[in-house]
Amino acid sequence: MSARRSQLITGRFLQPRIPAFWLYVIVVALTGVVAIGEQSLFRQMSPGGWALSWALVALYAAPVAIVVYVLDLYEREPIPLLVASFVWGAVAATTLAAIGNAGWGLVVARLGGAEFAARWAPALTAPFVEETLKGIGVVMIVLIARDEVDDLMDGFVYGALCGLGFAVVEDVFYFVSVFGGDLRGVLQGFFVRVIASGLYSHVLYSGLVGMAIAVVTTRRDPRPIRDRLRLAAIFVGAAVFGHFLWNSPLLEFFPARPWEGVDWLVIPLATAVKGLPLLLFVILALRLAHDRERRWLRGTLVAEIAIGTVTPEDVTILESPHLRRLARRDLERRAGPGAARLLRRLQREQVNLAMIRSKVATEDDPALLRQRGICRSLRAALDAISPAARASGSAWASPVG
Amino acid sequence: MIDPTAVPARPDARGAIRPGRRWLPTFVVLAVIVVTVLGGFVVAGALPVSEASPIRVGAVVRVRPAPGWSLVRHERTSISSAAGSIPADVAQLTRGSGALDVVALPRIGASIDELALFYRDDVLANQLQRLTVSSELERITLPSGLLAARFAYIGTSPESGAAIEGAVTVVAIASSGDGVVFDGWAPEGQLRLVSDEIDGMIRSAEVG
Repeated sequence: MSARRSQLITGRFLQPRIPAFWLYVIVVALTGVVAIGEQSLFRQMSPGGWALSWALVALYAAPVAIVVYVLDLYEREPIPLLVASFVWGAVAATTLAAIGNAGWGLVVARLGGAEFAARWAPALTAPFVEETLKGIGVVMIVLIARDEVDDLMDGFVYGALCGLGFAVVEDVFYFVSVFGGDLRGVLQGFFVRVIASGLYSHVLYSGLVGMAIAVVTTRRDPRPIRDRLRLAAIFVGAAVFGHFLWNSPLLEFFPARPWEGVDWLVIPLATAVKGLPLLLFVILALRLAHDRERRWLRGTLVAEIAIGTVTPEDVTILESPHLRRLARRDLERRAGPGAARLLRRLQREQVNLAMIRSKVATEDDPALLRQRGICRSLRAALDAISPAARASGSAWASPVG
Repeated sequence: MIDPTAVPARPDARGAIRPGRRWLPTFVVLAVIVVTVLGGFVVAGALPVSEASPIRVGAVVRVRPAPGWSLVRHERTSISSAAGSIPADVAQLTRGSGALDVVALPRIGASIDELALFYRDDVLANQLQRLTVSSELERITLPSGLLAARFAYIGTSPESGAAIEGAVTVVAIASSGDGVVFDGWAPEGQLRLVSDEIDGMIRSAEVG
């Protein structure tokens, strides 16, 4: 097994010297007992419905997880940390949120009375309780592997996966407990909560909270902390408000049950009214984050062009995952799969070079010098395998202006 | 020269930047978890609550609502059973996330076993789908000295499809022939959060 593959599997999660790691393990273990008990109860209530529920949510969760994973164009996160984030959302956050929501619901009932609480408690408690508990999952990741969360996109990826874990368990709860757990109920639940609402759920809320945590904790952002806190407040505010609106009786166009005929067309429209604005906000935020990453990569590597570690063509290709793939494919055609693999490694090390440049204080930092050496030696090896490699990509990549 | 076939260490791998022991942030995270999860119960306990006056259900039982609970339904009705229509007074108390139905059955003349069977077969079975009840009928003695029987159940509401779990406590008064049923219920998974309050109301109820 290669070192790279080994790292993907064992990664940077198992860190027994870090206190946050043990807090994570203890909380997940304790809440896991409750979570398993609940799933066991669902299985007893409706064995077929429970199994179907998990099959359906897996159909939804797998592609969403892959899309979230590949959203980070320059530095894919270690899989153990992504799994840890998902597990926190699925096990710890869901279990703790059930207790927290009940407690704060009691406060709403004391202040507003039982009838008011029945209408408003989900909107006044869940957005704060659940976003806090899911956000803590991302904070745990930061505490366990601080250097992995170094940009907005990283925060979004960890947050979204934490939210996905939460959504998956909550969906199974709804399918079995609220929609009845029989075949018809589970399919109804899948339509309402996944097909009609799946785009607007916890993945978005927690993704935004993750971005907020990343913008505060990153070492890469040169802006003053006050500006970063302001941006974080906007992200958290959008997530909480979106969740509040979703849970509240405001803008409620959901048809009354039982649903028949045209009701099934109204349901996606009713969910879109509440969820679409937040989805558009998140898409905009992700585009801005991508642009930021691209600008950061270019700005960081331009200085390396002058000393010959990378070429202008390299930088242009690195900026675009599409161009990176085209360059590898082109080289594979001309020089074979070994050369393409070497180019993939060179591209990865060039991105790593940018990361190191942004973290070190001086031009002669040993880590930076070492990384430059790696890039140059990989380039030399590539040139030795295929003299045409240096020109690879030049057909579609324009030099840095 | 560096061997190009060797896998280089990640630039952000351990050693590049040594992670310190982060006790303070870990304690802060723990504190946030505790406040988020348990803070609501503490705040609710500190809030002033208006003392609800006891509710008389029929001429059979008086129940004092626990703080935060309020009466949402109080009516005289009848329950259809194999033995015919049985008059009953029903009160429903709720706190939002759970409810206690108090059913007074004047002069029904049944033992606690018969009352439990009656409520299971003629009330719960008509109200819930896929009803499952606990296999044992537990005997308990209330603080008033009355013998009661208790069983748990789980089922699905036919209107909403929601899973409901509950615990039924039945009391029979031999001298008058009256019967009382306390049915505490909540959406599945939430009964444990209100069960102490429901139990307190049952224990403090004045039966007879």
